[in-house]
Amino acid sequence: MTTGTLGCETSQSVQSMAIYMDSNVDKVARDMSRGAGENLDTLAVLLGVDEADRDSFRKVLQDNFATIFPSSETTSGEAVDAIVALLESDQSLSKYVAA
Amino acid sequence: MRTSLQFLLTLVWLALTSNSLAKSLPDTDDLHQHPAWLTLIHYQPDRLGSGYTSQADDDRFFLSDSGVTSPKAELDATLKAILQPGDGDDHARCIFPARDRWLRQKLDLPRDPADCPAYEEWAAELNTDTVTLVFAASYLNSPSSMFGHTFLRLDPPRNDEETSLVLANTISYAADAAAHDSEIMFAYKGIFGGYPGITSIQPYYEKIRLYSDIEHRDLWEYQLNLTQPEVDMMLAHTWEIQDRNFDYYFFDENCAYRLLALIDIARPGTDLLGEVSTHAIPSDTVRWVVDKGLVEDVFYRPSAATSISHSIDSLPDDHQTLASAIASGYVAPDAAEVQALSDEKQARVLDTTYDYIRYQSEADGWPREYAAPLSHALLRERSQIKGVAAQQGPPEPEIRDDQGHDTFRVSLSGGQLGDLNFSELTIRPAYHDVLDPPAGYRGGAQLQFLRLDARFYTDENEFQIEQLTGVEIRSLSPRNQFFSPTSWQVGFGGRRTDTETDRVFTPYLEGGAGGSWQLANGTQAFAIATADLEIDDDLRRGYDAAPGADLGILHQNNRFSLLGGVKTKAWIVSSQHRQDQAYLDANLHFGRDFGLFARFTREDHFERYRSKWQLGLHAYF
Repeated sequence: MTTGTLGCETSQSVQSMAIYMDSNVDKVARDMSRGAGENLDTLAVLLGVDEADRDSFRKVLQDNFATIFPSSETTSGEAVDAIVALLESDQSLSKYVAA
Repeated sequence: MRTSLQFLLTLVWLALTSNSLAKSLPDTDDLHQHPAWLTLIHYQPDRLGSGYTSQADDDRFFLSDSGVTSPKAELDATLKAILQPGDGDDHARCIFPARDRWLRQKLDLPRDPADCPAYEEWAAELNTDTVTLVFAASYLNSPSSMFGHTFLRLDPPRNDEETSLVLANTISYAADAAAHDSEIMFAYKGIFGGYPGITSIQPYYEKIRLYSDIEHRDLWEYQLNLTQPEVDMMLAHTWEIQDRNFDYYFFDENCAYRLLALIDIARPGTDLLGEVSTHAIPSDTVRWVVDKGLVEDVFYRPSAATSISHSIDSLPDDHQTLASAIASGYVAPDAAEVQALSDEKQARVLDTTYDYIRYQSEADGWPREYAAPLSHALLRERSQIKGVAAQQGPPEPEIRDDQGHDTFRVSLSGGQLGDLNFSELTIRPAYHDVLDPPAGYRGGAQLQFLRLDARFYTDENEFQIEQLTGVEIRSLSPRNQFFSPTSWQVGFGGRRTDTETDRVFTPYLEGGAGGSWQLANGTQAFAIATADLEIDDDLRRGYDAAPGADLGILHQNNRFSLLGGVKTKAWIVSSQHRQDQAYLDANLHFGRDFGLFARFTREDHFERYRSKWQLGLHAYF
């Protein structure tokens, strides 16, 4: 794992997500491109995303796949940073990544 | 009248004795002989003598110096230690919470909880509501996986949507093999002992990655019906044996064995270990767990390999070709011919191609420089298609691995070799051959251990060992436009070989490699290049070797299996001659317990034609 936001300012849930992403980044990317799947649900569980917000969570990640994974060289840490940034800028989802 | 008096007296006697038994419990005199205590310390009766020895190979597991061989000394030492005042992580109550719980229960001691911060934190972290026995099935082209593998998953409460089972923890027991040990060393130490076995805890997603993604093994999840106190007892004992060494043995004290002990401890009286004889094949241990009524529910998690085969098979032919072309780089993921498809069809093609490339990168080591950018392009295209769910995974097989035929087979047959009549008895302790009922096993896979074929020639009243198979492995896996596995076989043992004048028993080693192609569902044709080596002083130079070929057709279904073909061997060392054979084997399955079999071979060897036929019955135990 890398990265800037990861560390003291992030919440524990984001760190758990980062650990999970680190070993499952390929599967998360796959589920994200399809807008559904067990690994995407696991991210939602780790971030504590409520059932009511799950659909928009999945949609935001699928819509922004190319932002989260801009190239095949994207590391899991960079992807985590991008996910956090995306969720922060989303009105209903920002509460799940608040530090 | 007299009988009813006797009956009454018996009742009184029973009442008295059971009462006195109950009273004698607090006295520890016999408690060390209690099955639950023997299980908790992993004692097994000595083969010689009347004592016990614990299977734990770790001093830290014992409180008494003579604990390894003395259930009583260990019980006394444990009792003394847990009754010491105080608590905290180093107190015996915290190091051995399962023993503590059990002894307090049996001896009616005060059950005030001990303060064990480390253990409590660990148990809270595991947050276990139910326990699931997970069985990693064998995979077609990997006979070393044929026995399967088992581990336990600790499931969190499942009453809300806040659960992800892939995050659940698992308990497994495995050989801690040194990385530099060769395969042969691994096999040797595994059989005769020498590897430490360690109980470890890992998240389920790591296991899924290992078994499902890397080793291509389907996972069967057997949710056990343990109650909360039983689950707590299992965890308490897991804490006791975690990181403690129990030497690992492939055949008996293996991954499955230690888990059986954990279940026995969770639910005293289950005695799963009592089912273990000489070997504990994981798929058999799953049967025992099912038979003992421990299973609440069963779930199926197909491996990456099973899923990808299913998605490929679900594509129409022209889309299969398109997927194959994208994977090979002939067609770009965003090419016009892909985008011309409807959203749903496009999603299926992209998903299948991506999964296929991932599979090939894992299984066949496709170079990252090629696979990674292509995978990324596929996912980016796929993310543009909204609202199309991924394809349903493969359906659960109708017959689970634990529902296949039993692995111990005994066969009786009669036949004729040339003009000699014989009866034959075959004993095969394990495991499966391609002619056995295929349900619950991988098609085209065969693994036999220590099979003995003994013949009695009725005309001459002569008894002969026909063949003793040490190990025989065969793996026929069909090739197609997506997968190109090698079919292969290897075996060693002793067998009768024809020296022109006599049939002598000679050690042999054989192997082969080639390909197989599916002709229809359940039917494949194979072509294997073979090599044979025989060593015996009855051979002119002491040994002989033969390159050869084996061409045949295999058909497997739940009612019958057929194997037929031609083999040729060119013996080149001691005597230069050809050995040509045509063979046909048929098995008719009666359920999973019995089978009728017939074999016919016609052989041209030493310029002489000879036929052999055989007809008999298989029984599976």
